[in-house]
Amino acid sequence: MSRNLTVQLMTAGLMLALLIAIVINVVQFNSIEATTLEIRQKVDKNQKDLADIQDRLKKGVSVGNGGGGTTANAGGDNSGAVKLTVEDPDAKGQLVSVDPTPLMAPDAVPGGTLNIPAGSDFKGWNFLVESSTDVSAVQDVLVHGLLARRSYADPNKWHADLAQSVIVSDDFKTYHVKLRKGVKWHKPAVDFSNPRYKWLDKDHELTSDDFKFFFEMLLDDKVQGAASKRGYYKDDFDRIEIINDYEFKLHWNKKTYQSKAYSLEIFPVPRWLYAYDEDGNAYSPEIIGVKFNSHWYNDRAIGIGPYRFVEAKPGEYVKLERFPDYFGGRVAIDKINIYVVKDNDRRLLMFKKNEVDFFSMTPTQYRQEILEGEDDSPFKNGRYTITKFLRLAYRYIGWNQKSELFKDKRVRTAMTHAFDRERILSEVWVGLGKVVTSGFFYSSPAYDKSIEPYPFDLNKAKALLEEAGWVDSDGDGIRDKVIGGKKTKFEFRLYIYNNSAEYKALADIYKEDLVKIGVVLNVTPLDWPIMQKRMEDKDFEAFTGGWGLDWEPDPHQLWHSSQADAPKASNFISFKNAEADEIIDTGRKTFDPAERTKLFHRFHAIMHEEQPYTFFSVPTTVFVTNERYQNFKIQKPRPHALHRLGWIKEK
Amino acid sequence: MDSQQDGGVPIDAIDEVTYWSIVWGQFKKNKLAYGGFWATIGLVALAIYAPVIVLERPFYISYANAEGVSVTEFPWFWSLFDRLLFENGIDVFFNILLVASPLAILSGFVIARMAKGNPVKIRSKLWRRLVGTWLVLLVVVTVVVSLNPSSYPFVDYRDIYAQGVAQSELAKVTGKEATQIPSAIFPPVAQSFRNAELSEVLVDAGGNHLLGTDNRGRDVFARMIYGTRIALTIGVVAVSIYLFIGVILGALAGFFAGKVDMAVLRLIEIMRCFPTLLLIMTLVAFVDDPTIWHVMLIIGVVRWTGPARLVRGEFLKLRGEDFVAAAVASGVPQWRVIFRHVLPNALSPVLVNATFGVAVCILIEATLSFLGLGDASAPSWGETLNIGKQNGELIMILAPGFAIFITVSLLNLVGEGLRDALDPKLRR
Repeated sequence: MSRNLTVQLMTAGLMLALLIAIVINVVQFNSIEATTLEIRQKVDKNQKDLADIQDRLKKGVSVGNGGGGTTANAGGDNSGAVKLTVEDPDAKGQLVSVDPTPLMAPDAVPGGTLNIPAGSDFKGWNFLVESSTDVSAVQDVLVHGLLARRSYADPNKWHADLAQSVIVSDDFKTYHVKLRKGVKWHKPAVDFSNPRYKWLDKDHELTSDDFKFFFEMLLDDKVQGAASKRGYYKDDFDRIEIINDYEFKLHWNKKTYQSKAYSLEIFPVPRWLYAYDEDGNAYSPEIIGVKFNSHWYNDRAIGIGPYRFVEAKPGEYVKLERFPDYFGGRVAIDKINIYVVKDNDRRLLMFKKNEVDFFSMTPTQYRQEILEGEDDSPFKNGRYTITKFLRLAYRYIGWNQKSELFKDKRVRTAMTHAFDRERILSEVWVGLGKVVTSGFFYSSPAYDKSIEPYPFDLNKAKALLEEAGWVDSDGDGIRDKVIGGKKTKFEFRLYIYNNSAEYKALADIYKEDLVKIGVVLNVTPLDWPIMQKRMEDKDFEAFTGGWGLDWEPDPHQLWHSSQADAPKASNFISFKNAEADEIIDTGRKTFDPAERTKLFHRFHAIMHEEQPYTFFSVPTTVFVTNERYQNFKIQKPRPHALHRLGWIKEK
Repeated sequence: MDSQQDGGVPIDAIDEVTYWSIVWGQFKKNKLAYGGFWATIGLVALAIYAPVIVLERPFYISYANAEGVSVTEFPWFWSLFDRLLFENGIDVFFNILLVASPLAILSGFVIARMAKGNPVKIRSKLWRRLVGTWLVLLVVVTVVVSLNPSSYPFVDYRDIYAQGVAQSELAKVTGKEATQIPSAIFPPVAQSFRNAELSEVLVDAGGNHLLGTDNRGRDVFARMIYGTRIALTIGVVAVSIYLFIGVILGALAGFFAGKVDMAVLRLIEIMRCFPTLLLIMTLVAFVDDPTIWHVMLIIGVVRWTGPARLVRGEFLKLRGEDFVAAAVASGVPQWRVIFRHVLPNALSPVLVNATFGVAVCILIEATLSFLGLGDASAPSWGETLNIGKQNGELIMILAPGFAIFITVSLLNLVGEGLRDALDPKLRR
């Protein structure tokens, strides 16, 4: 027995000794690792500094050549900013001016990585073929490929970008564009160690031909993905006339107001990449449209902007890095990682864990974190920055005007009276938004603020329905009317988005209010593609929807009677009104801002009178940024688009 | 199924002991299961009598209308079959039960009285007829009522009552001639399970709202009570559907063996390859507008493999027995051999499976509603749970969670008790 005990004791002692040895070892290793890490960080920092210095030197030289004003002094602000110039800014018809805001804020620290979430997967990266908001958000940063862009401060002004000058003729039919010289394309994101891609391994300069190719592809019916973008150009655009490598003219058929934005917002598409197959053989003109639509490079992006596309993993992430040869100067942030996170709660969690630097809050999150949050939570104590702004969009309920129920505008007005917009907005959307009475952007001059929304008033709704002939003739609590010799009950179906808790609540509440006035509402949640199909087939009675808006309104797409019966057109509800048509047509030709405002105010009044939609609200978006992300700014017309002025403050 | 054969006992005494009376005696010995059984009955009663406990319409109200004429109404009774209030087929069925179940129980007593002293055979025949008649009656009435929905104009009786009381109080204070003081009897909880009240969104528990309100201002307690109806129906109907499919397929496979058996078994294997929940979610996604009936049907169509295998096993065991050979030899048609001779002897394991199955189906429905795939208009527990989670309201997570837990535990207790009672080896 005792022998056994000794053995056991010895074993225990041995184990203990071993354990101690292991612990000591681990500690030693740790300290070695820490030292290594420190050294590596130091080296990294030195390298970064060196790159910085080189950068500044480079920019300094180029600025000097361009006749610029800034010199690269080591302690100076705007390190590396290039002064872009506009050729003859006072010329008659000159549309663009110089952007006075430097790319890097005076206090910005260069370097760092920005992590941001995206709500849905990116389907592809050919900007002409893809039109989802997530892709266009990246396009603006990465391609930076517009002739000119709207000013951050005043969206009605245009700042030169790829163009050095855009001069419009007196009749607004011809736009003469002079391009900036020496603008370099990014290198494609392909594996250059593979000899197959050797034909791509050279530098390309931006030329007029890249714009010509843009129009060739845009106007080619075989490029199916561009159908939505093609719409406007198809009717009124005439042709592009190339003068030389850096100069071209855009000709329009008609004098139209929108042609300015549509001319300035075009972006180049490189022929040297998209006109060739993977091995560098040119496509023949017959098949190029089809090939372009599903090009082998469509899963990656090409551009000329401040950031270069590095890699993407579908459903997971997209990585961008700073393009050192960017013509506009240096942007602060070095790397941008975009993570695809579809779940709202996960985005919030990632933000809290600092895995992403900003995100947009859902109403529920807003209520939980901000309205009902603890006072010392980072959302309220100032650690995170909350940015609230009205989105350029609105929500509505659409009434099918081909349906017997909603033909009568009195019925539609009654429906609006029975819809408790203010309370639904304040309770379900926790007040994030503003009730509107037309489809114009709430803060734009086109929106007539003097028009008051119809109040929530069930008695008024009842009276209107009775006036329209809808009475409860048989005492069953449901209104009815004899239509075409047949008694029809006022019962209809409302389609709502399937994956939105807010719209479900809206429908539940609306349903209960309608029962009180003798109208039966059935609710059907649908997935977006099915809903879209039903709307295109006009197979619906009512639906909840939302539209994103352009900065400059053109009601043609939604409200013109020519769009009511066109296949796949957006006037789903078949709205037809002669006066509205006339205003739309006149509006397209009117250039005087005051005159336009007058026209649109009249249009607004018609909308309010006719109630083709029950206009609901313009949404307020809440962006939250953490303390790393500095100088976060929103461009009013395109709030979803990333801007380039931010910088990262490391602890 | 009187299979007892013994020499020296008088024939009447043997007659008193049936298979099911043995099982019942055995079941009663398990106190937990026995308690669970009665608690489950209580749960069913709660589901049936939900409107008696929770409804915003009074049983009786007497008030002065706009012209000052005294009116007496009985809105509660009318609203039971008002499709503007109870739009769901499940509610219609339960409301019919609410009227029918006392009558059924009464007729049960009458039959019991009448049949006293008769031999077991005649008694059980009477019972079977009674149950059969009631079932047929119920189904017929439900179908008739569902096809001919009645509805009545919306009147807010709570408002009328409150206003009437306020007016008469005002009259008292000002000393004017008093109008009629309204009198009304409301159910104990005069709240609606569906009416959205935007002035009372996300109210805390207590006061008027026992468990608070959700983000549409609907009373959570009312939704919990009416949710019992959804849960129980889902369980019973879905299980019935899959038992129907499973038992028939299993019986055929077991009885014919050979190629039929092969085919059915392969089918079962294929079905079992897919994770049940995923398969159900996929199918639900295919339905444009999933109502509660779709959900039941889909659960039923997916989960039949369990009983099919059980029944097949029993059949394989029984098909060699003498009584089957005897039946076949005496020229009984095959379907009759299968369904009248063999099947009754193969049902007991299925019964246990079904009891557990009801619990599982309730869980599946709650899961689907929680994921937002269920019927949006039904006050299902899962949906309440989902809204609670979305809004971070603890009570709206705890209450349905607790209700699901209780129901599922009770059913499992009963199932376990039944399993033990049916197992001859455990009999003492």
